Amino acid sequence: MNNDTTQSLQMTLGFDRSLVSWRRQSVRYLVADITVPDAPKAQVSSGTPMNLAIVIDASGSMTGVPLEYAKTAARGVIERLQDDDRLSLVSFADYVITHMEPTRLNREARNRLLQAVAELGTRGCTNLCAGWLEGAEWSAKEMLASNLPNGRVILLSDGHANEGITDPIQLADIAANLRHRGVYTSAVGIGDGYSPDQLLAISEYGGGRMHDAERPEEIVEVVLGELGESRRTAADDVRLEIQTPPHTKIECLGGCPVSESGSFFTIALGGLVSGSRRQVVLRVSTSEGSEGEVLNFTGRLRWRQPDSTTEVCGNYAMAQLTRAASEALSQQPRDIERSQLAAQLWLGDMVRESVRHNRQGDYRAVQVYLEGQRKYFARYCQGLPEGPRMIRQFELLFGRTQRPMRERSLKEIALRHYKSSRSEVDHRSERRPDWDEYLSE
Amino acid sequence: MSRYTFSMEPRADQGLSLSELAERVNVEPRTIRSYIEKGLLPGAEARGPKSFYTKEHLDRLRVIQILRQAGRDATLEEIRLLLQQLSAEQLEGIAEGYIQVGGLVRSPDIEPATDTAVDYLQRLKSEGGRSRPASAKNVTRPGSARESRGAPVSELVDALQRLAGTRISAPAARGQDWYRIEITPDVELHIRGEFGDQQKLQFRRVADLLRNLLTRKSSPTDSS
Repeated sequence: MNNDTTQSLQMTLGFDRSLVSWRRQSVRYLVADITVPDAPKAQVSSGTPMNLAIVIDASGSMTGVPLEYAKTAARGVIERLQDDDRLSLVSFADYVITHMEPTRLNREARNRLLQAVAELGTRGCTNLCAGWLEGAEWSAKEMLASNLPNGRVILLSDGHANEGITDPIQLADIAANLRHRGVYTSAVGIGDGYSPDQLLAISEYGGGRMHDAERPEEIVEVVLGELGESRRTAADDVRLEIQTPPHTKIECLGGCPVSESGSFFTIALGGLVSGSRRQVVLRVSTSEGSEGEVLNFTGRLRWRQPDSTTEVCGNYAMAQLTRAASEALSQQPRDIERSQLAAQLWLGDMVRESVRHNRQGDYRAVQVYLEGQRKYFARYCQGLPEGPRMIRQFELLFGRTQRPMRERSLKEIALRHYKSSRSEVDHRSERRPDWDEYLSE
Repeated sequence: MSRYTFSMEPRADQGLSLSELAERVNVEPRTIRSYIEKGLLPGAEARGPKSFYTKEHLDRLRVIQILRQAGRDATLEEIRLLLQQLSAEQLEGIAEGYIQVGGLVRSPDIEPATDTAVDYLQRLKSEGGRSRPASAKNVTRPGSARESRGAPVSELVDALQRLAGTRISAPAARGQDWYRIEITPDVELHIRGEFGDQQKLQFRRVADLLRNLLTRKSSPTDSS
């Protein structure tokens, strides 16, 4: 275990309010505020070669302009990768083709790779999983062959996987297993026809990022943007471990993969780029207890540095809740910044769930779900500077998502919350309207 | 917001007598003496009536109590081995309560993989592309809430091993390896068991101390 934290991620923990009722259940929001120093051990500065596989959907729906832009993006990656970086190129449709096994980049290799890209053509159905796993396997083999600490896969697809493994839960499980073994996957959804469930499962559990390229020309922007983020990654497979006192319930807002064992709650945050800040919000429910009792919540981060396979542990951070009587509860101060963040991520979760039901055409489920949240959300927003705006957004969401919506609107709304909850950049150069404007359609 | 602040105990830093130390942790002085004899605690600083105990003694005693409470089946020998693995900072963390040993159970999600990605993918292929059900159960959808519960006592040792970052050997058993360190050409230190790097480092430090003592014995400056 490497305990060298001189160049490490920093984290503080704190609650929106520090008192809870000793007589009944209380809900509080715990915020983990993570900062990544500028370029501490980013792959770009470490001299460790990047080990990348590009996996391109070559099914029939990609025929024409989408595939041409995907090929342009691949050519852009080939040009931007540095000498000694490794690149594999795979395409998938109903069967998988490895156009180029892991290749160490130099002038001659670039020419061969560009030739391979030029020969890429469309065919058949969408066996996304087989293509993804082929790319992952080349990266994994190159890790072993060249003693590299990790492998990265960028998966481009415009459709629903309809062959091979298609279940998002199963895809998530495979992605998590690859992540544990140092192979990270990011996904680029192209157009309106891709499956956000499948690509999100792969990228969230795979320790990478999810991107959207609505227009074919945006494929190039987001693929090169992803490449840049991979280069600037300072910590891979970052996990926040929170240890909770007995008889507390805890859930993560913002759509991160979570797992629990004993009193340990682990949230997989994926890779973090240098100079970034990530805030994670946990909803904590406490039960009754004795007055004055202090509840300790201990947290720390674990991650892998991009230039090594060593697991790094951050320092412990701690936050406390104290059980108190109702008079003290009503007078306790509130941390406005944390409360506002919690409300935003809560709204994001409601958006995500509503979009999911709406896409399935289950408008009744949207109604029941949002009605159940309405009173509590409105109450929590009281007193927050952004509270009135967020309540208006909630009402828009409530009114609009109980009717059919365009797939593009659903994707934009979900993407905006996904990106903002993870403090990630949307690499598309053309600005989109605010997410709530899609609710006014 | 509530942030944790370390609560230092100045009296302990200044030094405690045996009875004061015993009072702080609510044990009999004879228990402390027996811990010292069994190697769970270092001896007092100085000797005779001027002897005193430090905050490290206090932390260690508190950790022993916590470990005994958390792991009712843990023997003193096991606790001694566990304590050897912990840094002063970790001991203080456990003693002060901001590292809670009983729950230090790593999530299966982050259990380090014992095979490579290539092995995993080949196994996946041979299983017809089905992912392992054992880990599938650990993939939960965001937003799922579960009630946390105390860690089983049997996981205590594993938890501390992870905390220490090294393997902790079980009490010596027949057939285990011997670790040998040469002190001087005539004196060797033999330790039976399997040890992690940190533990071996500690043994080497012990050997260095012994070497210094043996060398000093014959030093002309040590006239006593």
